[in-house]
Amino acid sequence: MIDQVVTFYTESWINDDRTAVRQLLAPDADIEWNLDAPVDEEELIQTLHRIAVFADSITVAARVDRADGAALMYDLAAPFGTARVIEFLAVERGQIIEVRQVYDVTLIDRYFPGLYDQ
Amino acid sequence: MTIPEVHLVAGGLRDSVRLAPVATALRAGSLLRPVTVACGRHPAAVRQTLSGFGMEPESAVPGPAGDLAERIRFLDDLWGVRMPAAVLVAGDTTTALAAAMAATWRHIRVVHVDAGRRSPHLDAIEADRHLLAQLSSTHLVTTAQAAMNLLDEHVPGADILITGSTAVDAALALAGRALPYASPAAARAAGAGRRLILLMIREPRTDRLAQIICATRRLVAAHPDVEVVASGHPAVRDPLAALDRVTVAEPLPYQDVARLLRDAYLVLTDPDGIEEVAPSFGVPALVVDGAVSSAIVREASRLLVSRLYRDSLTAGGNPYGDGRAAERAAQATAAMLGLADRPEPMPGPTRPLRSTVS
Repeated sequence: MIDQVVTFYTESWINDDRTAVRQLLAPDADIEWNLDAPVDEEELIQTLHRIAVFADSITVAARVDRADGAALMYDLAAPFGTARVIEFLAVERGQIIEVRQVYDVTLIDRYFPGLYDQ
Repeated sequence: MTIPEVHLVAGGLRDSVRLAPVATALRAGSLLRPVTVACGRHPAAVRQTLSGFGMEPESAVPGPAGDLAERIRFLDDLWGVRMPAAVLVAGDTTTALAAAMAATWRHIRVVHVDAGRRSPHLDAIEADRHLLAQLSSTHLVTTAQAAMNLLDEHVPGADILITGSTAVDAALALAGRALPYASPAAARAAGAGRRLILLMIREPRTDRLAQIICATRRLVAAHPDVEVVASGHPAVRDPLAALDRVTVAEPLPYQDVARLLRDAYLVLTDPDGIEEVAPSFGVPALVVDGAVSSAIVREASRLLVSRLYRDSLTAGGNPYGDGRAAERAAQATAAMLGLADRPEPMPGPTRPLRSTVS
């Protein structure tokens, strides 16, 4: 069940399905990232949307599942280079209750300019 | 009162050398209990290095570890039942990244030893270095340049401490014990009564292999009183094996590297090798990777001919470490956990004391 939720979430945002991502996130989900900008559910969804639109390809480079969630590493290939992001997800009752993202901020700023509002 | 555990995770020789003296310092500090964990492709190297410090891994992946995901899985399982207060990693290996990811996943704080090393090449290794910096809470660096690299990546200055290299601490500790050579070949070479050149190239540039090999041949021919111990990458050491007064010694445990440094007259190495350790033994290190053979021969010969020049290169001490880095690392870890004051950074010169030929 949890691995299906995680798979559905990753496939949804990679394919820019914002509706599906919104449905998978619990209403009071904890969301954190290391980008230099505040984040809430809407900002997360919009940022994932901008990555999905701008990137040439997005691949899951590594994934580890656990009974309560998953850890993932994505390669985000942009026209001038690839940046990586790590994501920790916690899942409960079929919904994602926690998203923690750790971006390579140096390469995100370089290869995905204007990704987020500073 | 239970002493909190901190787990030091190593995957091979390079990171275990850097973490072993920190484990020793943590144990001496008595504020935290160090637990060494082997989780990488070279568990035997980790065991061998730790044994030089009277330790062995308390937890280990059985056999060589697999990819990043497999290492995360192992560490996550471990920390699911035995949660440390902090995790220490060293360098920029897959093991370090896996440990930092697994720790962050469980909200465990990460101390990165030997942080901030960067190369100009934006490859996957460099990307992993960036991520490791973002995952770590405390960044212990060898040089001011490494600190600046981290500042450039938006790491808060308050989280960075210049400790010096813990590899220097490791080498000094092992050499001070004057253990017998584990490698008979190294022992023979060191006992030959000639000036010892330690050639240790770990990751040579393929387009410069021939230059290093040619330069070594020419140096041996031109200086009959030198003995070369060649270790590191087989592409460099093996073509030299048939030469008179060249000894190929491999594998070399770090205790032998430390002894060879103590006995050596000159070191030829590549970047991020032992050039940061050699000055602590009064031995200059010539970084030769990328150089043409004539430049290597010219500069090495200058060092072999002029003892004054050779000694002057290390007269100012070692800017990469003063032998107290591990103590600073242990105290910085305790400080991060609110158990001690933050240590002072390593004082000292900033003048690089290595010679680079190009």
